[in-house]
Amino acid sequence: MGRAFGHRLGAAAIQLFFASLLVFALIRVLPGDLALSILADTPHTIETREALREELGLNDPQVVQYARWLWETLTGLRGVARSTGEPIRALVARQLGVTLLLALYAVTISLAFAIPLGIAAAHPKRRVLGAAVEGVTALGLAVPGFWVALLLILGLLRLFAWSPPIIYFGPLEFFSDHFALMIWPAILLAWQHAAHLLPVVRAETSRALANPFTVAARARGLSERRVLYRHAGRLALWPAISVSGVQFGGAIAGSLVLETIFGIPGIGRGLVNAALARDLPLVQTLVFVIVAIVLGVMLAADLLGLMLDPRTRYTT
Amino acid sequence: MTSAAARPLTTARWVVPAMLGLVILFVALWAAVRGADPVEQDIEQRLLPPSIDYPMGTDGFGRDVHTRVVWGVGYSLAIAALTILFAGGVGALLGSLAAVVRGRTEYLIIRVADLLLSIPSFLLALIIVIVLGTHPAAIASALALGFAPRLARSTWAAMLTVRDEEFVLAARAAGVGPATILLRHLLPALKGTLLAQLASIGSAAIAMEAALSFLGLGVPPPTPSLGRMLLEGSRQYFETAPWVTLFPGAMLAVAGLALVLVARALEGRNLVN
Repeated sequence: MGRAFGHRLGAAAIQLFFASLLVFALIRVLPGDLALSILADTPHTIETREALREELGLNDPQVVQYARWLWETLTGLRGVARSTGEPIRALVARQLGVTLLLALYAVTISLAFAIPLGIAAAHPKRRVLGAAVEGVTALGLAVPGFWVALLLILGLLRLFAWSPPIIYFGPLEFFSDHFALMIWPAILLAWQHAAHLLPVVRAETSRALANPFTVAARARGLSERRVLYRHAGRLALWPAISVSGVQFGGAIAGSLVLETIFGIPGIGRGLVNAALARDLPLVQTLVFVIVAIVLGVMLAADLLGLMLDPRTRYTT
Repeated sequence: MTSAAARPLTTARWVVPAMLGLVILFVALWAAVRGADPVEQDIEQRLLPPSIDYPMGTDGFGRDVHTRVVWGVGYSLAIAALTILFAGGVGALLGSLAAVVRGRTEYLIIRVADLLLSIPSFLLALIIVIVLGTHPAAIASALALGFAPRLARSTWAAMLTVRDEEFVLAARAAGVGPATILLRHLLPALKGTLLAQLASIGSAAIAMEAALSFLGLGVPPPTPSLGRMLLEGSRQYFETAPWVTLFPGAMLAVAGLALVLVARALEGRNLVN
């Protein structure tokens, strides 16, 4: 068990290292000239561009630039955001918590609905529920979340003359406003998340129902309900956690758009604003932070799986 | 082989996507009959509600929303097709290469795919669009970079299950080369799965392109793109003229749903085999 733990930890660290290389390469190397890329939309002189190159350290070799950026980022997100003048560490500290809370709400809602529903829908006799689950899944995959969000805001405004609060409060500062703002994007994200989760839970439970142990359980006189939820459904839990971990990145990506619509000051909106302001160094650092979080959550899901399901300890 | 009992069920799965396709076709033909221009502005006719002259109303510049929606769907589908082409070509090729060649190549391809998968595909697309610009081909390749590794991985995983089957061994024993085995034996066996994946890549590409445009990072105006129409509609005339936002979004949903259901139908056919 300890060895398997170490194995996954090492693999995640290596993956993070290569991801940092990839993000650096995409933003610094791909455009050819970063300074030109940042200044693309603004009229500028050659002197300003040279000054910017000097400021960003673009005249150093790429390896030096990469090492400097990675060092500054890993040793506490040093540096200042060019577009807002705020220290990057303060910026991330302010925004990351908000996004993580939103993602946490979304994943919790998704798990709370998708697991019981997916297990129940696996029963061959529940045709209507099965069709309903398929419909919810297809809509969640196909309909863009931000359009539903717009419809929702319009509907709430027209029908109840109610719109989400404009100012964000933390959950401990002013809970009712926090809740009123976060609940809608959380539900929308949960729907998209559940659209990936439901089919897995359902398929895994169906597969488990075909096992001889369910026949044995029925033969012992256990109720159909108990066989379904306690015996067959249990086998769907670990795949569900695994999918939740993998889809966490999707939830963060979805919150990019939803945070912008609802005016939630999270890292998604921060990233979009940095992109629109062409603050590429900030984009680079924020993407790296998000990738690190996503990898961390996937690792946590993996480790949880190791504890829940002994069989996974022996696969690489 | 499709059994007789399973056939009506799989045909039924095509009914809804076919209907959605007909809806899009009808809206497009209607626009063709009306013959309006997607970028022509008529400022005296701005923000008119839906009527017989303007079935979906007009936007803030007095442009016909109906015609713009149809062009926008066309643009979305073109992006989806390009993304499918790029991601499908690269992903399926590398995935099958990994499964057929084996050894170090296999390891390398799968590791690189895993690495790319650690970055959420929407973030990957966002970075590339910022860096490469908003040319349709650039947007499609940005999206494809997110989907290709997923496809490569699933192609590889699907081929693992068939590459050691007896019909493949028999072909090898008969002296058939690896390329022919791939094209004649392995790919046909996985056709349903692969086509289903391509269809769902298409629907995800439509949604992501719209999201990029909605964030202001997509194709620049005046090209009619559904995401951009949603952006303009919701920023400025959301309360006063909701039709500017409602119709593009509805078409987006219809097109996306059609592709998701096509994927579902293709998958269903595969399960029956």
